[in-house]
Amino acid sequence: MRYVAMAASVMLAAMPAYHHDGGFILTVSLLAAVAMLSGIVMRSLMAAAGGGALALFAYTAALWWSAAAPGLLEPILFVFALMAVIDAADLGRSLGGAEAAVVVLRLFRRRWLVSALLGAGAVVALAGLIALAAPGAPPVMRPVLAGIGGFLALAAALILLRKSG
Amino acid sequence: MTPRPTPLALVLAALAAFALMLAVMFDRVEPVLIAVPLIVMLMRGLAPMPAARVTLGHMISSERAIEGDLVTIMVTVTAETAIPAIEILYRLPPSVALAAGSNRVVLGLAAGETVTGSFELRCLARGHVRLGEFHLRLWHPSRLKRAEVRHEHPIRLSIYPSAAPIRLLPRPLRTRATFGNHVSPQLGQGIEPGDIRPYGAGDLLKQINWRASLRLGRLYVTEFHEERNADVVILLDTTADIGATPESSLDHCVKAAAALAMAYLRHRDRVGLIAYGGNVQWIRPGTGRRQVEMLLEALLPTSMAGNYSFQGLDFLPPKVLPAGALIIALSPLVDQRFTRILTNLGERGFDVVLLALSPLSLMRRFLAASPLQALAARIWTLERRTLLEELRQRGLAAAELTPGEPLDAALAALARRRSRRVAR
Repeated sequence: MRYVAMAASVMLAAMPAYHHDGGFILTVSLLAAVAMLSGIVMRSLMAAAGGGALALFAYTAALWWSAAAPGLLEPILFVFALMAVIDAADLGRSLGGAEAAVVVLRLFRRRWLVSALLGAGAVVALAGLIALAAPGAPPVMRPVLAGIGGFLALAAALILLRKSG
Repeated sequence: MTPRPTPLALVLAALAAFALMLAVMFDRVEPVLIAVPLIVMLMRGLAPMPAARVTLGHMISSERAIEGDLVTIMVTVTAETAIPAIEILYRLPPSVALAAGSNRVVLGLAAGETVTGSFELRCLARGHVRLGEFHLRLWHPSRLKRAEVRHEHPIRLSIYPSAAPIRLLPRPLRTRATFGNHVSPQLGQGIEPGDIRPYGAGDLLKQINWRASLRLGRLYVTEFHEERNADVVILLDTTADIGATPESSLDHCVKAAAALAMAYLRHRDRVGLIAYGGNVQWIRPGTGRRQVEMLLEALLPTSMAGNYSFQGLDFLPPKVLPAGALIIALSPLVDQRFTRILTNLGERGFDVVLLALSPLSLMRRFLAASPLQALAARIWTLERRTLLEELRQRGLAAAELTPGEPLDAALAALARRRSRRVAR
């Protein structure tokens, strides 16, 4: 499973370069790959998540730079790969050193896969809704998305600060 | 059990938020599509935690062990309700270390299911160890939140100091009136020939020394040294402890004390213990298995006494410090109060043997190698030698005990010095 996650991290880092091969994007993608691989090998969830965030940033920036047409399959692939990386880093970290029963690992993996599939279904449904409401839908959603994003980022930062304090 | 979000939940929330912000910044819909599955996963974590009721039990293979021994812990977990994932950590005190198996397991249990596991612990340091602290962590199947609780089912493991066998015991100068294994200066019944004297009325024929009688032309009988036991008091210095457990100076002294006590008790001597740490704690000299138990139990929790008071041994009753007892002092000779005690005992006419543990090697483990440290160590060594020489001049038999070296090596050096003093 770790090797699958390593392959997924390489794929995540390669996806931005597929759209734009500028030096900045390549550098950020390389950093992302290093961080994700370190996270998997060293069982560090924070390193893996940091690498995932860098890869996400590089991917979005590459799309923006290349002005590519919106796609559906690529984001789904991206999120599956991202989940594989985070899952591998987190499972190694949280259960590292413990004798984990096989049944428990299977349960965790099954729930993870079900969630990912549900997420993929939600993506398809959302894409369909956006397509139905096109072409004006995304700009209308911008303030709402900005508000949700800001709120979640603030909440996550506060919780992280409290935990670290 | 109050569930708390895991770092994974925080990471997923942060990534989803970051994706939404990127979507707004770059005016692209793809990050939104990436954020949606992450939010769906986070929503799965909103489901309530499964109710978990477990019964924990554990057994230990032996409640008494010696340093270095292995003990097996068997843990039994019975689930009253179905538990998707529970992590069980059996907390280990620093005096023991995991030797085989794992003290941390993650299990999935059906209702009524019982799981048994075992692991081995190595006993590292003497003392009473309290085992049986379980830490349970109940995982939500999504791994996004968990609840933790602590259970205690205490059992006590007593780890006794390892007592190496000793061959060269310091022989007491004075013995008691009762029979034992030490050759007494007094003549009487025994197997060790002592002197010859002219035959007198009442002497047994088998006592006649025929060789001397033929040479001297009249009957002579052989007298034998009586074999008696002795009083031995082990004086343990607890005023200072240098180094870290289980290799501290006090640990080495306690091991030596246990070894000496066992050896003298095997010789049927009466052995007592005085722990001196400014204040005095003691065990009256005695013999037999009960005394073995009492001495070991007293040595187990011995630790440095953190006080600066000075109390002499003058007030101790004769039953604790019998006249003519052999006193074996074990000390790193760091605190001057103990040196005063030794001098005082010597002046009172006690037969005092000092085993001075060298704390230099224990100190060096904590100090960086530098010329200044080396110079300080040399000065300290010289000061210790001077102190030992002063104590010898005051009539004490003293030898240096090096940590890691067998006790017999120090006792052999001591035996050479005392051989001329021991009357036979």
